[in-house]
Amino acid sequence: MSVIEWLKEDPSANKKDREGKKRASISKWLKGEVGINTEAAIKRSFHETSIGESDVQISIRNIGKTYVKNGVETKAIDEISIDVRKGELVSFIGPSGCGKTTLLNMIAGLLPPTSGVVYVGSRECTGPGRDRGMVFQDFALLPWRTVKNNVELGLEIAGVPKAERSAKADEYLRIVGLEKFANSHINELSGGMKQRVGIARALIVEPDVILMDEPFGALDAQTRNLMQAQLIDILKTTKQTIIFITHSVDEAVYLSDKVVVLTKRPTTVNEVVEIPWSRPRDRTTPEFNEMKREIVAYLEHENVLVD
Amino acid sequence: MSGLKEWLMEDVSGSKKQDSQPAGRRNRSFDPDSRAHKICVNTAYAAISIIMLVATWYVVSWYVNKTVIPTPLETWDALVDFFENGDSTAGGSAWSYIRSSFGTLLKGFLIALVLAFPIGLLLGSVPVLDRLFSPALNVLRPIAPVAWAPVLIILLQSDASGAMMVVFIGAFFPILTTVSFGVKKIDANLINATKVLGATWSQTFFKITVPASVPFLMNGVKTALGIGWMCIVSAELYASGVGGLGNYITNQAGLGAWPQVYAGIVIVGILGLITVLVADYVSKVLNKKWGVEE
Repeated sequence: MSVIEWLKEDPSANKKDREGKKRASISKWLKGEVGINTEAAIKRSFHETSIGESDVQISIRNIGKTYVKNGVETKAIDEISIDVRKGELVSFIGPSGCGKTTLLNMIAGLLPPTSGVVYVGSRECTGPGRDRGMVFQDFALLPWRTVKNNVELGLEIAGVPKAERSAKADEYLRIVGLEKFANSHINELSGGMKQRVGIARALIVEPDVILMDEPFGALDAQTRNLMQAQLIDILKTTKQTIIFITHSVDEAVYLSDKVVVLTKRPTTVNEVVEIPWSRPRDRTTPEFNEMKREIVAYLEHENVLVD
Repeated sequence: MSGLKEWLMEDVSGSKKQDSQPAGRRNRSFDPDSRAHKICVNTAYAAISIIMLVATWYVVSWYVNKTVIPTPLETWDALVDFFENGDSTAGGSAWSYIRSSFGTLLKGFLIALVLAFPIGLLLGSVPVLDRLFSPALNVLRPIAPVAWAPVLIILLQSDASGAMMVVFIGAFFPILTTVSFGVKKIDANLINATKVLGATWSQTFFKITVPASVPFLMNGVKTALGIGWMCIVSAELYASGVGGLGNYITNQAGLGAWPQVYAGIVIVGILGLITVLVADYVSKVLNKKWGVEE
């Protein structure tokens, strides 16, 4: 019997009998060591595994964010826990304003969480770093540099010598299909091309996970579909782990191995939907649409006006 | 000269549509979208504007006070005479005066640039420094640069240095303000993008903050140059030994030689215009590279 199941038996951790005392001390240890609240532990989805298990790349444990304004506490995010395996593409989808970007920023280390920890492998993360890369909805490229210099940026920061940087940048430009534009300037590119530069920039430093914040949200519908297909191609080559935020159920079902449906504020995990299909996927099949229907059902339940 | 012809015929209308003009109009020898057309139109507007200015000048001269406000023609004669024969009283050619003032301006401006740019960058990126220094700077900023002139000349024991420092003070604050303001306006995601690539604070500062602030710097530079020229005459008021255009104007005014005074004023005006136009051109080139929208 696993620890979690044993705790499930009596969540109140009654101190009176010997087993109760054991439960109490283990709960206390769990809370102290890894910040796990036993009630929350029981609520967690069975998708979780132990931290540091061999194929688990990212573990998010009880991440929460509470804002205090004028003495009033607003809980934006309430204890989200999820595991991401190596090479998985996990989507986060949820009602507008539920704090998906806040969550992503906390995973990236750009925003300190009020509670909880992010683990990469078994290592605890305390700030931003090269192990968690990011792709932004508004591209965030440097306009005074050429495309190639933008892609090289991460290697430049790491102090990689010029020749090696250049060769690697050429390689990744080829992966995203922009080798002809190596010396172009950013403002000469279309939206789709700019995002491909952003993706190459994130890929080149080979992070443990790439966090994508609605990367195709600023693109038109056709470019968006093209970019989704291209992302799948890129993943075939690089086998990169990705955490992906989107508003589009279609996009989530098309791309992801797992879809995490979030609730409205205070945001927590509503449901985790596994999509064990191979990619590329066919949008027109009944199974695809059935999956979309399932996820939409979970979302609609949440889509009352956010308070 | 086919290259010149092509350059003149190039479509600079900036319109995205294929044919912004009906075919008939485009095929006539003077295509309204071409650069040649744009140059002609801009020159025409400039010429009309200057003609209106000169006409107003004439009117004011005749009806207000013909002695103290000479006519444009008298001013022009004085101007030509100044360039041909130099200063009739103090000696020295027109070009020596121009060189002197230009030198003062450039030196003052460059010192301001070299100091204000880094300080502005730091104030913009380190909030603690901003809160420490801004109140004091805000107190100093409104003081007219020329108010510092007598103090500076005595302290530095040199007319030339004193005048240069007045220009420096005038040019310093616009650059400082625009740069520190600009740094705060840099897209937060650019900074975030470098952080998630593992950059240290100084790497972010030198690879992102400094280049990203250049468009803002250029705005500050344009303002600073304009103010610098405005300071020249007042700076040279106290610095009689410098031999610049400000001195020329003051001396001639003392002699009551009003056409010469206005000739000096016109020269300062034109030099100021040229300086700002050059800075503007540099600014446009850089903005294009930085992708800043016009």
